Amino acid sequence: MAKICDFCSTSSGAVHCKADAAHLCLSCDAKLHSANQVVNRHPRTILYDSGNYLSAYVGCLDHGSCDGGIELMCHLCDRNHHVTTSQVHQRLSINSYTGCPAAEDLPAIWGLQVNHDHTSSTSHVGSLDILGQILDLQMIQTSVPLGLCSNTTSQVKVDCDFFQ
Amino acid sequence: MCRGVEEEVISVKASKGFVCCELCSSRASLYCLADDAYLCRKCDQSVHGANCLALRHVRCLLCKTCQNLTQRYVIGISVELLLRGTRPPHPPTGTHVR
Repeated sequence: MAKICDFCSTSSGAVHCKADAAHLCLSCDAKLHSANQVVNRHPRTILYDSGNYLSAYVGCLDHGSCDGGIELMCHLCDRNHHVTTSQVHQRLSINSYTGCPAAEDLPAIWGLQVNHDHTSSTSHVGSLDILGQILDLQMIQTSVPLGLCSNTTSQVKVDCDFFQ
Repeated sequence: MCRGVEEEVISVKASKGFVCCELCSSRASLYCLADDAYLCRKCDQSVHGANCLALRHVRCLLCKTCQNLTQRYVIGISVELLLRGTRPPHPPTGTHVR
């Protein structure tokens, strides 16, 4: 069962903010972390979309879809799939992001590829939910300026190291 | 009488000679552990009164004389409490000094 957003209690949680000790959907994440420069720098980790509450640890390119998407895994699944089986896969280390990303930048953080008609090749239910939240956030960002996110130039710092 | 800890937060004292509030540059009176930020009372109420999540942050009061961290904390809007027998948090690294 997906974790519900601790702020709106409506949408499913997409990210975890350690500073606020809260799981947040993307809209609430943008609203809360655009309020001032203090909260703007809270690092947020993306949630592993299998339904548990662990943060995504790596993105595996070889387990991902054939069109270039990545499969997000927590550290436990990464160990089960790669360490215990000695499989050598191309993996991206996914850490956290700060700032207020524009909605267009978010699919890349989740390793999703969004088509021009706002569809995606993924069929994973969790990813579809994330895509829905990204689209909702895009509507909010283009209609109502949110404090520090009043324009599309976001201050995204995503720690992504490439390793095998 | 100063009740602050012995470790001076020298590294975070700006050119003004005192620790500044990160948002308005006035004299800071609290340090938020979750935000890693020094704030004055007014900005603290603005930031931490904004929503229910920020309200949960525990803020450490600074000594009014030397601005060192004390064993007095603020939770919620303005509930102060004294934690006896505990050491104040580690002095921040001062990465957000104005």
